[in-house]
Amino acid sequence: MSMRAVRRGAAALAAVLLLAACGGDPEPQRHGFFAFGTWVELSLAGVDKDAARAARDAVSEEFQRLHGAWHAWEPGPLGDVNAALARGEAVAADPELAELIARARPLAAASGGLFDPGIGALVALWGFHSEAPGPAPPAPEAIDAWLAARPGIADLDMDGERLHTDKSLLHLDFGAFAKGVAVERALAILRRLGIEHAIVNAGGDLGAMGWAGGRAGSRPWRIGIRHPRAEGVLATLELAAGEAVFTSGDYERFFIHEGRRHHHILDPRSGRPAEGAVAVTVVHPQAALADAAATALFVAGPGGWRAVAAALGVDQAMLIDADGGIHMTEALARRLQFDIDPATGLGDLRP
Amino acid sequence: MKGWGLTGGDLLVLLLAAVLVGGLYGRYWTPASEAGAALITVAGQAPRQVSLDRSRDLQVQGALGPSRLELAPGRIRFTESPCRGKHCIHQGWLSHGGGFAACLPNRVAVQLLSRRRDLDAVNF
Repeated sequence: MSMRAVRRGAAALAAVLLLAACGGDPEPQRHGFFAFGTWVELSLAGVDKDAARAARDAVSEEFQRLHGAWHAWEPGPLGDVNAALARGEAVAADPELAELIARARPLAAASGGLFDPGIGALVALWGFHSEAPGPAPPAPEAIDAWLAARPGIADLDMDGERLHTDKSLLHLDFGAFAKGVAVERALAILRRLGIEHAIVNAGGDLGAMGWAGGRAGSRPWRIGIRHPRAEGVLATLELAAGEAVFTSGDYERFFIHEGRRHHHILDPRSGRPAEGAVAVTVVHPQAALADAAATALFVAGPGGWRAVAAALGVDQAMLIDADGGIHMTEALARRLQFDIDPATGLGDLRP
Repeated sequence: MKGWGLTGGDLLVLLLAAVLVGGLYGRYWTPASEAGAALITVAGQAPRQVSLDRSRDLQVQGALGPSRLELAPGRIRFTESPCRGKHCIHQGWLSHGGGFAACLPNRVAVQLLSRRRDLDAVNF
């Protein structure tokens, strides 16, 4: 072999090694824990094992704390406020809870009350505040009594951190909001720990930052959006740095009574599970807003969701209706990759 | 070989190219259906990976009591759990990568490890 051949061989070998290094970003590490009654998983890229475990412990600790602080029915900062409001007393919220309320109120107003953390008493009527909802819907008279009062977070008088209401049926429940706020907190904790590339997936609702390859410009995070009835993924999506994806679906919490599905996303206008939608997915830079919007758009249904999305400043959303029709904003349609032709739809999705 | 105008260096380049293609193929091409594996997590314990290569039953000790899982090639399901709602059992077989079922009261979670290695997370 001549020197020239050896040199060429060496150059080729160097090229192979370089290419191998390009494709060789390590797989993200996954660490999970239970919190908020669900399974939370962190996918962390560009960190070593010890740092990843420490991050998991820090986020887990914060989530356990928030679960206690924001539980609507158990004694704790929010539970105590609810108990006082029910007795007709004025009560001081701790600063963290006051901030949560202050952040939720404008979203509730913008959604026309379709997202409303003031409907805790209705949630409880249906049993969705407990581990095992059902087995039957509440009596129509009980729903009518709630509708007659129609308490909402707008009925909460707020003077700084001092809270009062004239409506004894006003009961705060941040079930459609707290998870989004918690995901934002988790991402902030990770950033403080020096982690720049992560997904925080709280029971299927998630917020992402950075890149899956663990460095800027490497592979973007790839997300699958679950099919609302069948197993498997309906569409996939690559996330730009710093986006959250939240879905509200009628399959998440429900009970079946006399052949009919009663799910947990309640329409404050009817006092009953919202009809028309099966799942709504919202993509937005703010996880808390995405969480609230997914609920509001679901309640708005196939006829009203676009207007509510616009009012909330959401331009990337998808709604799947009970006939299996797939409705999307143009901005999201451009980004989603479907395994099926979305124009064909999914067929009848009624239970 | 001389007749083809190839030098030893050319051959080396061809050989390395073949190795590179083979390597990329092995690294990035994943068959659509493989037996797969599942990750079982019981609160407070390290997750445990089980292979879904054959049919068998598995019992894990959760917070309330034992949960039973049925394992089969490429799929897994809850068959018994000491919870009230039995959502974990109603969820049926998990057979797609990323598929997830949990008995929250008993703090037992099962996740089918992704056959779609292209996905980092599944939103639902």
